[in-house]
Amino acid sequence: MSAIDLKADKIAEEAAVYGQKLAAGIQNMKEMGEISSGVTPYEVVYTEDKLRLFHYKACEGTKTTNKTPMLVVYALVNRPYMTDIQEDRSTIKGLLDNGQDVYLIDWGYADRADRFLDLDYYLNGYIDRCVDVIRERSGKEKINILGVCQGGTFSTCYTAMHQDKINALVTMVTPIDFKTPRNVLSKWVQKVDMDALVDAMGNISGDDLNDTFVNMSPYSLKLAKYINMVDVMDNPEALKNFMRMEQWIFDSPNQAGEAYKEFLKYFFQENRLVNDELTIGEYDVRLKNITCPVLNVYASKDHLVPPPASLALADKVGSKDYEEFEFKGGHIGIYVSSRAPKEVPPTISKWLSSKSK
Amino acid sequence: MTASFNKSTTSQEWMDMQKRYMESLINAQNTFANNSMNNKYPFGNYQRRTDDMFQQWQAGMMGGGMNNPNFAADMFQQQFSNAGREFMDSMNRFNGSGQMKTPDQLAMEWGAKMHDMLGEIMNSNGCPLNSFDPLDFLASIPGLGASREKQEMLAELYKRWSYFQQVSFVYYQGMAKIGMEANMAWSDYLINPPEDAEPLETPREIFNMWVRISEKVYSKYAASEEYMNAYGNMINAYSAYKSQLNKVADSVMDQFNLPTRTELDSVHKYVTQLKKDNAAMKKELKEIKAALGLKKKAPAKEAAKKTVAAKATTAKKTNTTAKKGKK
Repeated sequence: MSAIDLKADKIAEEAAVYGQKLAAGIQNMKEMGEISSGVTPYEVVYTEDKLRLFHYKACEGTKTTNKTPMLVVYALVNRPYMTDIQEDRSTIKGLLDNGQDVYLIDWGYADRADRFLDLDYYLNGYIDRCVDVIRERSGKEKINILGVCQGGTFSTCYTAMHQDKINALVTMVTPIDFKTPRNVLSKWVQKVDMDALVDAMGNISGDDLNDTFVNMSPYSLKLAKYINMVDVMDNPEALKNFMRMEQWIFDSPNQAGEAYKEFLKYFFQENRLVNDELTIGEYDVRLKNITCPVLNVYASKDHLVPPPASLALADKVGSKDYEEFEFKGGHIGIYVSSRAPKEVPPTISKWLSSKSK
Repeated sequence: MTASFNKSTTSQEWMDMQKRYMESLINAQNTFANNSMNNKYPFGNYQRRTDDMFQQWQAGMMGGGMNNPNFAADMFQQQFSNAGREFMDSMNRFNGSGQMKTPDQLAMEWGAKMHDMLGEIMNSNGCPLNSFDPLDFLASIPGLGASREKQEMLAELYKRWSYFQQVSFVYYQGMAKIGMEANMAWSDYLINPPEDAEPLETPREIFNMWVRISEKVYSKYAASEEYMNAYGNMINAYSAYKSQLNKVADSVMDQFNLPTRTELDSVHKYVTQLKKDNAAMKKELKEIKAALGLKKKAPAKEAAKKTVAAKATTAKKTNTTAKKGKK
């Protein structure tokens, strides 16, 4: 049997359809207009350096049923509007619609003035002050915290250091064990001298990070994605959604050098967190000190944070109230797939509301 | 299966050109030095000596006479038209123009050609700099004279750049190897497709299958120890090179009395420490106030609201009194 059996009629049809979509798509791209970065209205309630703390506003008529506010801590890599990328694919909106009171940290764009900010400053400085602001505004002693990816690692460490301020912890696609077998990203950095790299580069360029992520699947992400993009080009809405993702993917801030160096050395290379060897500032970070309820949300087809990397949290937390939620999708799909808004925010909201007074 | 593609001479021609470039430059510089020592030109006629040196260099590059007024333009034209001719030859050899073949024959022949081309990279003796490093000799000589520190700095920069090139070559050899393996996996699929595989009926289907197979081969290599080492070595070599480049840049900035990166980093370090100290003091102050039971000062906006409200109340009372008075 031959692997190739070209059919003239199918080729002709494919070529005609491809050409039509491409032509329509070029016109659609010209008429696209501005691409939004976030759709849910918010108020900036606190600023410090480049950090802004957003307090999101629920739609009119939506009641905030959970009086314990939640703080969303996004990663330093990429921008947080992924969680609010479009009207029908917004995790933030989903949480608001399900009665949560949502705050989010926007880290801004680091520059050379941030070169020497370390993890202690980010966690025990910025995050801690944001938590205090929310506690003061809400009158609550403890708040809920939800961390995304690297933000989840930060949230986990923060909870371990400041358990007295946290009511419940939610981690989403969060790496805890950085040396699981299928963690390609971790393998790539094992032989890199981080001290030398950061000393030479200062801050780490967001463009270099993008290149690294794209190189995990170069044939698909550098080539096939743009060939197959034509399939959606004739649909203005679908094309705009594609372009929103494209904008987000390549909108990567530079990474503050010291924090980046510490994160890669202590977590990726030395795996200190899961080995109970991590110290941040004056705190020993021990996962067993996390005694509040924990919900660990992971994606079954996550190529960036393989499930075992997230699931390692189960055996390490001191909390007796630990649950997992598996989303059948990828690292990004957990936010932007069509199923995500129906599954993820309702699950998280229901869980948080049950754990909050 | 025999491939009709001749092994590329592009890399050898490139090396020959580089060699000719450096040899002609060195010869021209020797002539310059000799002419200067032998007082061929009157004292102070530096411009004439320099002109002669460049003309000789370019003539050596081009193989033309020193009186050719357009040899710079000719040099560029030769380089580009040579490169263009080579490219067109390569395309013709790949496409096998004029030959009628079935799609799978074409795909397999193309695969064989790629195999040969990538094999040339893989089987080479390493980075070209290993066989011909024109500035290595100069970079190895210790600096002399008042500018010796600068000479040593530039020599070190060159050495680090050269090492980076060599290490990068190893990385790209690895990528070439994977390109070949992906190619072979694709050929295997074409020759022996899985029993349950549907035939590929359109160019898009062929393309998507090629992507899938190639990605699988690449992913396996990307997770390997070999890749980890090659990648790490390349990044580390680049860091070393960039670090030295920063020193050179700082030295130039310093000469122009402009702030250097080192100085700015020092300032940022001080400021970061001050911010930390400031935050720690604020926290301590807050704790002390809490311990003393001191009330938190009302924020300015709220204070303004209270003042306005108080004034409104006073005004209301005054009006009421006035009205009563009128009675």
